[in-house]
Amino acid sequence: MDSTALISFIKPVVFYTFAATAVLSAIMVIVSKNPLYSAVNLVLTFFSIAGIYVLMGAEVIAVFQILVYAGAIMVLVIFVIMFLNLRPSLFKIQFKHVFRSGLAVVFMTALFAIIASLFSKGVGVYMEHAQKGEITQAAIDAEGGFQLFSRALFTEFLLPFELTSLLLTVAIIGVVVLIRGMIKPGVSKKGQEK
Amino acid sequence: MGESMNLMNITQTHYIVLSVLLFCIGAAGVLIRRNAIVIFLCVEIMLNAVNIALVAFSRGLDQNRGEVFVFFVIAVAAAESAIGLSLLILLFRQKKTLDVDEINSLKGNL
Repeated sequence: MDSTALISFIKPVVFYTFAATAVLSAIMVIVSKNPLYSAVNLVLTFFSIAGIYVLMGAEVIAVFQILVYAGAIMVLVIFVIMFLNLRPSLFKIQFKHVFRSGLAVVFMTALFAIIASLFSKGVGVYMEHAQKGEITQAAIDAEGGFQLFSRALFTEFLLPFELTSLLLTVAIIGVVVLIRGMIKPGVSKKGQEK
Repeated sequence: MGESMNLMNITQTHYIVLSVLLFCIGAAGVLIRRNAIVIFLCVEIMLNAVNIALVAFSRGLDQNRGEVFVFFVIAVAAAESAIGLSLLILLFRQKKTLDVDEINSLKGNL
């Protein structure tokens, strides 16, 4: 019983730490003038969200979050930012429309207040009365989260899974087709030799 | 907030409110910033907020369909970032800027 009391104390602490880190670094993504700082802050947001997933009991998603988002996508973004080598003058003209920015902040704050006040009561009531599934925390502890996730992925969601591979292939071919126009025939080495 | 929102007892409501907060931050970023790369990053924040909501409902209802759906969302986000970033590179080479207020030639007033 002592360990449950400890867990019930630690869980809010961990949640609020990760939530505060995620929210603050997400705000830093918006506020930073340099896109590179925005990207690095976004990596911090992704890691905090991965911590939230672990706290929820979805370790599989936390692993994918770190591997794909913080690993692959953010490396791509940072590489592109460095590749473009944006001039510092481009950073200055971010907040020139103060009225529009203020309106956006006010509108989004109002939206958050409305949705959060609706959900703060509605979600708890919905969770109590909704029909529950079979993947309880006890089932995950007994069989393992990865096993249950993979079973759903390769049986019930097999067709979407295969379509995902098709989507990624289409994305790769699309990128190659897009970039092919950048390579001018006269600039390449073969063209110079001619 | 009443008994449905006890601050020290972490329930699904907390995760949903965090998700809504992150989504609003991302949407505000899309509206405020004019740099195309930062707008792209803010869209990623919004995608992650939706993922948190999906996983929260999935765990709260004792299912894992939401988690499988998050897997597909992450795969689509990877494809989207590959295409989107190569489009941004092409756009920068064409226009020498990433300010979305100046990239408006589809409106026909170039």
